Amino acid sequence: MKKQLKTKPAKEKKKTGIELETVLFKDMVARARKGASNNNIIPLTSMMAIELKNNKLTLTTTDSKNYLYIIQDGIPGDDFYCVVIADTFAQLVAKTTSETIQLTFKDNYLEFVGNGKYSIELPDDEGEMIEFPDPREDAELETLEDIHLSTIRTILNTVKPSLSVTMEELCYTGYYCGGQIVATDGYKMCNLDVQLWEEPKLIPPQLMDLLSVMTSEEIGVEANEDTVIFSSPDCVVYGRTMDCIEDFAIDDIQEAINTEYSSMCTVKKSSLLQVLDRISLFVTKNDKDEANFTFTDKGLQINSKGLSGTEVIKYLESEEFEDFTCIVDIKEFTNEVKALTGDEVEIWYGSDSGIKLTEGNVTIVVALSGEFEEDDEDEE
Amino acid sequence: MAEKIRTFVLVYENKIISPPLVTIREYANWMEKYFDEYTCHLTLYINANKGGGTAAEWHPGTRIGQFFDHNRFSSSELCSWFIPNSSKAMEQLEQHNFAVKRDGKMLRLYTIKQVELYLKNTVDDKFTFGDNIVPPKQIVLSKEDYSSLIQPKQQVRKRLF
Repeated sequence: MKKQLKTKPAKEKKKTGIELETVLFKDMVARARKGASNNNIIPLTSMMAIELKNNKLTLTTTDSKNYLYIIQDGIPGDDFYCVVIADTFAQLVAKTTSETIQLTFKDNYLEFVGNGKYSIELPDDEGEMIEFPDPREDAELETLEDIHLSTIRTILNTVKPSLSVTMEELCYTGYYCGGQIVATDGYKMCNLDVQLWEEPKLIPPQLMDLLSVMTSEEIGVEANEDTVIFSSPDCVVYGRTMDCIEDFAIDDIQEAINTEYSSMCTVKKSSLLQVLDRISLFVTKNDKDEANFTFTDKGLQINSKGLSGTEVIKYLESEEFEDFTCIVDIKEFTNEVKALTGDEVEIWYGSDSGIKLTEGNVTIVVALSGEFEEDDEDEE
Repeated sequence: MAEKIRTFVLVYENKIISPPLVTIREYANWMEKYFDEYTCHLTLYINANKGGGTAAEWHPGTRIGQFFDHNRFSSSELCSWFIPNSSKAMEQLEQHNFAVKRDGKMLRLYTIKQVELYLKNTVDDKFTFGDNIVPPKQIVLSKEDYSSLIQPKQQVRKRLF
């Protein structure tokens, strides 16, 4: 630990410091840390900028494409700016139990006083102080409709499981946000019937994930053709939109979402998940995760392909019942059921292309499995 | 030894995606498309579950990792050295001229050096790949190739749109 430096009057660099409630600072740092991607190739992504300017404290982190700013107004102290290693600093803050934390910017280190006194080394770039770029300064943006935090939460909990995780059609790795919010990989899709913006944008998943740190219900949005900034009083997220939105087949997707299904039933979600959990024990790799779903007059029967496991879930409600059997990817179906938040699941069936789940303004479609007209000669 | 040993990396959207995630059958189809002739391919890395797998778990869906192309040995010669302990695996191998290294019950990752040592011990004590190994050739995948490589399971499902 370094010795405390003597103060030297009439020096260019002043001793500047702040004192914060530990609880407040812990929350700020924990949220800011989520923006640091810790990519070894880009050192800045492992750092956190701490700035006090005009009594506004800002913590900044980045994954090199998106920037996260956590803000707290009304912090007395002289302006200062420094950059620390995010993980180490965040861990120290998290483990501090004193009532307050004092940060004092010294010549070449940050003094941290909490339970004890710590000297936080400030990384430099060949002797030069590191500074985060501020991409917000260059952006000319238009103000758009606010987005609600509740919508963000629904996106992250319910829509996200339908995103594509492979890159063959890059546009489907992002969220389509326009007259509705859509995610799909071509074999499952989720439509959230919430109107966001007149001009749709394709939001990358990493940027959407960052919005989880927002705490205000109303989130301001400013954007241009390739940039978007989400703002609330204590948090700003800057990011770039994806440029392949023209490839997103929104019309075809909407057609698939609006496909007619002849029949509907409602089952208890917890019961359904328990059945899926037990049946999946008997679904082997050779079954390619497929299970048979049979809609009977007594309930929904789910069995593994080898008939080694069979269960029936009684309907809470049934409309236009018809006998129907289909093959479903049990893992994907389970993930989508888990993504719903209610106690009951509405299941629409009768189409040969998919099985539909609905809950309020959420519609999920999961493609059916099985044999199709085009023979796959490479089928194992 | 005049023949060159080439290693490959697969590239898609400017990212190296090797080891390629393919089944043996898909790999063979793909190799036929990119190379007019190949006498045999030595599969160095067979790993059913990333952390390792036993030969008993070997099945056509197993993913193949790093590989290299060596055109000095015929497939039958290699097959006589590398004997899988599963008849199903053997059937797959014979169809596509692959060979699988068996080491006890585990199918393990081997470096070129390890294979070299193995061949030194079993074929010719002067055998060496030496300077014949050239830097990896980048195979840039088209969207269709990438799709067929990484999503074999979805082939049994109809797309929603």
